Amino acid sequence: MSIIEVHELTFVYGRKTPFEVTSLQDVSMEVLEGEFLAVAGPTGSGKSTLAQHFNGLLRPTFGSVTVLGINTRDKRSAAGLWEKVGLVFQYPEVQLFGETVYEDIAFGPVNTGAGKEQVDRRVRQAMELVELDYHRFRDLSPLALSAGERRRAAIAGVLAIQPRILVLDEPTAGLDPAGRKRLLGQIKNLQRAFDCTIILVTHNMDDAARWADRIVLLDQGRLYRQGATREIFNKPEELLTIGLDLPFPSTLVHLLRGAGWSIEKTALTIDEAEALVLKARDAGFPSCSANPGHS
Amino acid sequence: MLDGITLGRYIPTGSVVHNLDPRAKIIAVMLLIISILAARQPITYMVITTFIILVIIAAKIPLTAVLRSLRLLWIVLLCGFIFQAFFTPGQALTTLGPLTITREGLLGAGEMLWRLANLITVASLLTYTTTPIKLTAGMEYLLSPLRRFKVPVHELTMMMTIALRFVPTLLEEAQIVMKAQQSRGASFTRGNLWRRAMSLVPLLVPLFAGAFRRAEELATAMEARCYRGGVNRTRMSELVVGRADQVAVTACGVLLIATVVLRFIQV
Amino acid sequence: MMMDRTNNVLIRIKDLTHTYNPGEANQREGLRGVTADIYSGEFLAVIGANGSGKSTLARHLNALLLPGSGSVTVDGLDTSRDEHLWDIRRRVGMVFQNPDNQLVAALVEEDVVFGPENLGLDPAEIRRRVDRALAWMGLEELRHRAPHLLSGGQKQRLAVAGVLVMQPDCLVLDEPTAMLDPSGRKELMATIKRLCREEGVTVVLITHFMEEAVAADRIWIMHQGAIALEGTPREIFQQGSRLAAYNLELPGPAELAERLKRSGLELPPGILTVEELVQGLCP
Repeated sequence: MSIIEVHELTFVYGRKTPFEVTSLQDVSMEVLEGEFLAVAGPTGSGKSTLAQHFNGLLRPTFGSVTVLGINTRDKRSAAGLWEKVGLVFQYPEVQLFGETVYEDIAFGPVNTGAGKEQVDRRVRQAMELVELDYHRFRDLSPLALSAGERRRAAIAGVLAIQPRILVLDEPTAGLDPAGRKRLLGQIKNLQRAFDCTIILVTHNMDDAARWADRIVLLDQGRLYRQGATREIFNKPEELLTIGLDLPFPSTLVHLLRGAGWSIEKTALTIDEAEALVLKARDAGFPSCSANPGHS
Repeated sequence: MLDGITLGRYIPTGSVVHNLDPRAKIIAVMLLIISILAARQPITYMVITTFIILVIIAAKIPLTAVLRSLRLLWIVLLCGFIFQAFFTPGQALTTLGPLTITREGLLGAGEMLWRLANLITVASLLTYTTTPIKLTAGMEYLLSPLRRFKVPVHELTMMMTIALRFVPTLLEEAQIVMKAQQSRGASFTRGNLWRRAMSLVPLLVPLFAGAFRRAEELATAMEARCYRGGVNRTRMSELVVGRADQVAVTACGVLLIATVVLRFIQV
Repeated sequence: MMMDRTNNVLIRIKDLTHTYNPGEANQREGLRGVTADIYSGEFLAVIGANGSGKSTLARHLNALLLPGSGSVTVDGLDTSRDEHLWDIRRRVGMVFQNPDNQLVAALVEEDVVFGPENLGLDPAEIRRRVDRALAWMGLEELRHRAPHLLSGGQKQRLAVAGVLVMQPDCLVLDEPTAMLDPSGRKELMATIKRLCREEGVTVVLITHFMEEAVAADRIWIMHQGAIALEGTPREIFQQGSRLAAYNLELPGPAELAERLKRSGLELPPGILTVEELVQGLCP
């Protein structure tokens, strides 16, 4: 069942000024309830602009966006959308303002009008989800945290609102590989344990391949492709033409196909790539016809 | 969106005006501004505007850019115009309900409109044709007599350079923080004055923290690039006053004298 | 790179330690005894998890930080001696992570001018160098743009140009690609490699991306304020299991090759790239 429907969305920045820029054009897509969706595309493809339509921060210039049955053009009903659709901006740690980690994370829940006990419970739970120890961190100043901890505290500030849909714009930018894996694991867990719908906005195709159920690809403000993750990576040429990277396992499959192996489904993870090669070995390796060229 | 602001942006065309010495340009602009403020007769208005249009043409600045910088301020201009036109006592031309448009009002409004438009055009011409560093170099030179009174002129102009660089970056950041806090339910328009003031805390704290963080990183980066204040510093564009500069300043000077003389002769 | 490089030491680091906030409650060890040499003309990658001390080490190379104990010498000049400070900073240039916070001027060209003006060079020389640096980094077309209108990759290339124009012997880059998208990252890496190979500039790249380190001549792995491993990329990435102890991951192709070998597949040693892996699978 679709939880967000985007219908022929066109968005123009600075409309009717000399600086008018069309950043989305005629985009139609949907988000299914409970899925992990990646919205991917090169820089300037309009993916962040699209993300800001999901909680009503931006309203369509033309077309419509319906979130949980609410048309975002309807100002009054859309005003409450922030409680249902959590939006984590890129480098969210810049938004930290509380004197303590607790105060900052509680900001959202307090704004929902929740009582003190409920706020308290939500803060605890959000901190647990991002693996920040409640007792150790609650009274610390956000400034005393490490870069990775600050990022997680900021994300907890959105989780504490307990939204049904969570939109994250490049949440792992600038983190080291360990921090990256940890954070995305926590987000995946959120989808599994709480039936939260996740929308990951990213240009990192490794992350999209590894974590997303479905992918929506944007290019220059237009919808380029949407489909199941494996289908998308099964046609590498389509990604390469718009300047996106392939994740390593799909690149490998792509090159092996070029060398004459017949592989039906592409691999998305190293585990899958390993299984695929071992299966080929057990079948006595296909003869390698040509020397693979660099794609 | 904020990228669109053309006011104060440099438009390279390599024209004669661009190549003028920044000090000459600053002085010329000062003279022009005084002329605009001193002008009182239709004939001087025409002469000054014609002069400015000629400079725009010589600078090869597209007319659209000039109009754009005016367009941003059209609301201010329009309000001023209406106010003047309606509320100046004098000979009535026509009435709209309780409001009366007077001849004097209309003329006064027209004059004010002309003055503002010309001032804005002259100021933006300076920034369109002068790179920020040249502009600050010119300022630094013109302000240098103040050094005698222990005014840190180099530091002040360096601050100006950095401010010009960081204003767009900080505006962008402000917009992002605002949206991020709105996404957590912050409202910047609800409630009484006190509540509104308090609602700015989640916006201002991150902005200040961000500005300090940037300042610290920038200071480190500048140090790494061997910056040590004004000590032993040279300029790539040496300021040299040439023939063209003398001509430009003289022309503006003559214009000013003419304006002033006309004002007192022909009352 | 098999020549004897020991005569060619550009930067010598000896028993270097550094403590943040010494004597205070939040005292923290940044570096605990680093001894190593950086050779002239090499491309050195320094990898390590967050907090392993790589940035602290980098900031010692141009005297932004001074040794707690031990010493750092650049071409024989001791970084702790005041009189060498500006000479050292000219020789060892530095590019930082956040491209926005290291650009000074409101125009591309004028930012490049900033460094040489600080050196007190004469105007004609500055002009010549600036033109050359802009050309080298492919920024001529953008010279009259405002930096905030550039892409992340372009901003970082501008930051490199701003250092290059001072004709340094060594370029230290502190996680320069961390905030870039994949295309910006590739763009910057290509220029850095070219700088090292064609202009002979010594490059020290601090990064947590394994794929970037693969291109280096040599790698240092930092762990808890010390160099834990040192070697060529092939030497380093053959020690797969040891890397995990330092919170690091092998590059994808190396990881898969290792796993396949464990399952009994015969593959040539030292596979680092996907092309090498395909070659190994399709001999």
